[in-house]
Amino acid sequence: MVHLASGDEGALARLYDRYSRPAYSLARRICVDELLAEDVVQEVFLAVWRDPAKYVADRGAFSSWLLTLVHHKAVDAVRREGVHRRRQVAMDDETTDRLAPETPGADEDAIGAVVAGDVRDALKALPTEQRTAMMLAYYGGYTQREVAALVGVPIGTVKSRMFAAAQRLRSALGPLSVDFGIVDNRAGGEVLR
Amino acid sequence: MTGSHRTQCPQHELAVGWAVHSLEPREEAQFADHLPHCAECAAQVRATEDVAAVLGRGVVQVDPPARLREAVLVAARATPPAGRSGSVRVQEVPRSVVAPSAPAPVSRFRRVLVAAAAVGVLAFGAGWLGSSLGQSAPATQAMASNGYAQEAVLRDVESSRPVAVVLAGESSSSVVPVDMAAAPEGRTYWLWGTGHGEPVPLGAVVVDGSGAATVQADAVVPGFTGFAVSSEPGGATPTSPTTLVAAGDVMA
Repeated sequence: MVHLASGDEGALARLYDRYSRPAYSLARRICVDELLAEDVVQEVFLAVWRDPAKYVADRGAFSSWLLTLVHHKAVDAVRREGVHRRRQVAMDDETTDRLAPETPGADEDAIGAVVAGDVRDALKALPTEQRTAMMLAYYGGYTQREVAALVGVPIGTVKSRMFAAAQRLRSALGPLSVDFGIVDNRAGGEVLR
Repeated sequence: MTGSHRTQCPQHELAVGWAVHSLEPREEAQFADHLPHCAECAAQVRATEDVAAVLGRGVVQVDPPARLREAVLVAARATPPAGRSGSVRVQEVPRSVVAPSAPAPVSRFRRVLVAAAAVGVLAFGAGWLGSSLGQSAPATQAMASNGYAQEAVLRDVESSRPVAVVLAGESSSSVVPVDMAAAPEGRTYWLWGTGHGEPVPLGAVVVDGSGAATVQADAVVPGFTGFAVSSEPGGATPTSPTTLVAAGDVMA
């Protein structure tokens, strides 16, 4: 990040080469539209370029911070586009079918396959109502109020379900979030310094 | 970190919604005010964001198109990096060719090319700038004839994307469009000099078929710190900008 702060374009290129695939993959999942996903990814990397100081190392792994940024900007992009497209994919977002396949393709790295499998397992282990609420919010980009309207329950119920889901997912996936950061620091140290 | 399920903060359930960006605007603003003052909620947000990022990694991994990498790097070159706002960074001359006490011996012409490249003209324009130079376009003539030039990158006031480069000389100015369409029917683009109190109208900007644009100004006051383009009704000289289209600071 020091290199980025000094305007080192090579540092930005290395950052892009390392994180563009997971960033674009998440943006594609949420946006569906390829061009919209590209815009989101470009917006994210430009945001990092403009102000790398926004990432504070002692607040968590850079990869987590970056994917959070991708997620938020992708959700904003989908919301700007309007509600009609989103209603059509609402039912898709409730299922885990659009997550990484259980049998990874030949190009999936080993760590990626483990992460994808654990995510699928953790989500499937949630009670149905908690999984639905969390997936509609996270992958679908719906607000909690919209989730409440979609599933036909009060918004307070949605808040409670998402809180409970987050607690369970932290127990199941917490170690993965730490490992994700360690992988970053080993291989990406030259980018982050 | 998991600990007890009991929490003290009445807004703890908003923390999860905040972390996955699913709050309504009013709640988001409310929680944004609350978060800096609540360690419990801050911890909840961080923990949820970390887990959410793992959810993000659980999607099918797809390689981005090759063009996206170039688009990001080109856009970055046109974007001021951290700590530098308002002007486009000009490519610096390597230290080895610059005497310690002398200013960088970069020709004005080279600076113009660098300025254009910084906004991606050479990348986006597919040789437009090069062909304009070769054809003695008005912009080229302005570059060649002016005793000095100020350069400014004008950015769209809404999207911040670069739309034009201004080359200002003693007797005339040129506006080099990068991504600027002709003015809407019935309206005229005007170039303004800024930085001396009220904006000063410099002249009408006409974007012709070749993409070049010229401004025939009656007088160009040197020392503007910035330029702007506005959209004005009809063709009469405006006294103040009506609809601001793009603006930018003079490059140092």
